[in-house]
Amino acid sequence: MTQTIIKYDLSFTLNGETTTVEIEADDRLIDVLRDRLLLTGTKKGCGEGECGTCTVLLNGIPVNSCLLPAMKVHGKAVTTIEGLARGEVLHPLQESFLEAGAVQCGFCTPGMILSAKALLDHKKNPTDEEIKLALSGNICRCTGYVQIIEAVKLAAAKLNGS
Amino acid sequence: MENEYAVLGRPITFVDGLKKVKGQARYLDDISLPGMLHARILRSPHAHARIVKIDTSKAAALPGVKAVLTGKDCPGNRFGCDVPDTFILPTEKVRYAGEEVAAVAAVSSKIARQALDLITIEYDPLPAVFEPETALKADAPLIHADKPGNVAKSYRIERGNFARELARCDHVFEEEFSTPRVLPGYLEPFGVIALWEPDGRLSIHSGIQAAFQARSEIAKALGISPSRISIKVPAIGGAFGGKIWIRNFHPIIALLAKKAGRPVKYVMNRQEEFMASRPRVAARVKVILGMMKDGSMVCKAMQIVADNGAYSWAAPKVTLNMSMRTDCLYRFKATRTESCLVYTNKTPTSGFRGYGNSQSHFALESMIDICSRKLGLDPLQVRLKNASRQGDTTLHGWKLRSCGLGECLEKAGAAIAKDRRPKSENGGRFKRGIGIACMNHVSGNRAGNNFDGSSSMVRFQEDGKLAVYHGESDMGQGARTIFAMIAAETLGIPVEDVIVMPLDTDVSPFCFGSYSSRVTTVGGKAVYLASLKVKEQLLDLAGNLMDVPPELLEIKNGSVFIKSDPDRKLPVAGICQSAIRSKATKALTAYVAYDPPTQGADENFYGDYSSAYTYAAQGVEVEVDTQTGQVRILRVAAAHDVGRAIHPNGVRGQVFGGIAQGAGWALYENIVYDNGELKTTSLRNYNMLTIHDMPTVTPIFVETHDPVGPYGAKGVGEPTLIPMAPAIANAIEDAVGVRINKLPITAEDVFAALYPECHITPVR
Repeated sequence: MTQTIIKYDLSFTLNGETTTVEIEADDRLIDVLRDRLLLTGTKKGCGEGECGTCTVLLNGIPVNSCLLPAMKVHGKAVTTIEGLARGEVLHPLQESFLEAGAVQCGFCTPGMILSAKALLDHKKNPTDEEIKLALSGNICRCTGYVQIIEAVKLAAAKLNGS
Repeated sequence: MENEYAVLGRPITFVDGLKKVKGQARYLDDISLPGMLHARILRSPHAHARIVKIDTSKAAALPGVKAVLTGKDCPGNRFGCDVPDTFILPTEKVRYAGEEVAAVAAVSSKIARQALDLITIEYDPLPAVFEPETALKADAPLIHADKPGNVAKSYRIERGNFARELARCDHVFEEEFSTPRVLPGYLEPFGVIALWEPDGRLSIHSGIQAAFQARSEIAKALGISPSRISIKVPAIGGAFGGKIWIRNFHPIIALLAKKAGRPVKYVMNRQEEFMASRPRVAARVKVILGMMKDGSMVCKAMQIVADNGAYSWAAPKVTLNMSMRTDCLYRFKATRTESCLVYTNKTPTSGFRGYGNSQSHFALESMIDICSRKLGLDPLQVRLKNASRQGDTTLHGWKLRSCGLGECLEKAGAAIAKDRRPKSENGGRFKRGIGIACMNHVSGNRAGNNFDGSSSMVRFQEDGKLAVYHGESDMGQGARTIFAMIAAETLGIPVEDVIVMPLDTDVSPFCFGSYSSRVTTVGGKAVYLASLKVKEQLLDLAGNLMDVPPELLEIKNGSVFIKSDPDRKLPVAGICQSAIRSKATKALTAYVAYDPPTQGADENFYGDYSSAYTYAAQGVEVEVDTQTGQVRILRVAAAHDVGRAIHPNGVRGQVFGGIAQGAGWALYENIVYDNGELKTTSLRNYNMLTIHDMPTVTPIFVETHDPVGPYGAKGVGEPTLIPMAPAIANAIEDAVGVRINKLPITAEDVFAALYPECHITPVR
């Protein structure tokens, strides 16, 4: 059984940097990020878009990278958890998740933080209901979500300079 | 009250939190080794079938495939916990749909998957049995030839004279309850990387809760000596009891790696997690409760039929816990339990947060409300009247050195009764009610005369930083943070100066594992004792350097000072340097193997077996939509006797998380089979609690300062889940007057109970 595998060049902006990577037509974004680009902060919890651990931002919108054909991001901007901190300086959401105790096993954390970032990027002071709606695609099995909501509010306050 | 401690009780950031928020924590699937292959496992489509023929030749010939494994390639050693009935891969027959039959290692997962399709297996299907009740029938097909009647394990435990006590009761009540299979549901799928080192030793990377138990079980399966294996534990993405014990894939992948001569990685996919993980033991529990008319509970009997699945993992132990622990919640005069754990042709069951104690608490704590209502008594007062108290020795010989059960009940009861929403709204469509349930649990569990301890090594480094070595896993609950805090507090150094080392059985001290809510209590005590020893060494040395007797010295904020003259001080870092890089050659190291002062249970299961016993009461307010039967949890007041809260925000996290899982178990989660065929194969049709469903929670800490635990601390991991289901069932009855004795309590169940004239049969 021999088959010719056709490779394609995928070019996109990844965490602010122009990136080109050779992929196959049926590659999913999550596998390109994790296996080709070695950005393992994006987690694979279910592979079918249910758990939200693989959430990344595509042009600022949270998407399940496990459901997304990699070619769909051609020419677009992708943000992963690795793109949030500026060197040693954490994003306010990262700081707040730590301070609020919103992190236990940490497996949902990257996706949770990115979903929260998409919310705070366009909503300065979200209500509890808005936070719940924004994070409803991200399952956390450890924390019962209470400290996650506290963390998002804390981050909103930090971003608003209060 | 002012906090007398420098570290304990303070808002310390989890020590491994930073890398987690940066996406840099390394979980198993984030690890790649040079030359590493990827494995996939072929699983049986049949629930019960003879294996006639396996042909792997086409798979082996596929380019990129490096090794194929079937049962005939494996040593035939039996392994498993109490009832070792498991083989690495079956050769004769398969006993559940999803059982491992063959495995392939290839250069990519894709090729490994393709290779699985090329393996042909001829099966001869056998009659299968899916429910314990049918498996117990005389004409039922036998699942294991050497297990007559399909009984994996049975217990009969009686204390006092049950029949005599029952005869003198004013009232005798009887009810039956059932609880389903549910998944621990950790988000990180389980897996392993196996690699044979050039010296012939086996390295296993796996996010497992009990590394040393894994080492001995893998050794047993492979027929090699435990010290030939090293277990390296990366970050663990949740576990909840589901990752305590090894799975078949651990030895399978080890053998594939040996055959291929290269490292092999295997990570379950989510569908496999549903098909072949280890769900909670489903059980039917019949309770007989004898009471006096004043509300005194005199005696209790239980008959339990529990579903083991096709092989025995922790289910025998889970069933034992189910059979005993609630006997010690109240001051019964007599108890009797007869339980039977039964093989079925379904996925093996095992432990999940609560480890059997949750199942029997659902039964008993529902029962108490049912009976109290029948007697016209307040269920909370009945509980308080009968509650076990500090100083008691229970029917099973447990010595209650600390017990805050009464205080938990009072505080949770008061908190949930306060600020209630209206009992009825929207013309009576929405009805609201409150309910309470309490629980007891353990912090460690000595089986027989076995070790139930934990070890720790604490070592100062030349720069004054402290390395803590430990063999207990951190699955996210914060064990590493607790260890760092206890060491820092005991040694008077900042928590930032403590490094908790990675878990590797080659280096880490011998420990039993992160289960039984034992890690803070027993593991933390080992850190405490080792830190004390190192402190003694450090003060001796400082005494020499400062020319004062060491008993006049103390350590605070990283400096050793003279108690009567605090300005005369030396920095810990300087002392360490002069000890390690000098002819003084002091080790500044202590290794402590600690075993708690309990005697363990005898062959009749009598005896004090846990370092500490934990107590909790949770009050719940629910809202029932009487048009649909849907139940919404509005508020929870959770009072927990944690001994002492070493990390209060961490305890809050345990409380919230346990409530979320307990609410899921009570209302949403259920592994559904239809005539043996698994229907819940995906998170699409298995509902875990989302952020929308989480109620408002008021955590209440009851601090009883246990005399044995480190700084008085006890465990809290499992207790947070245990009272949820019965408290919800009790609140539903308070709201709408219907009683549901099965979990999950679905909208259909409530609707059918509200409108019996509609003759609705809820889907089971």
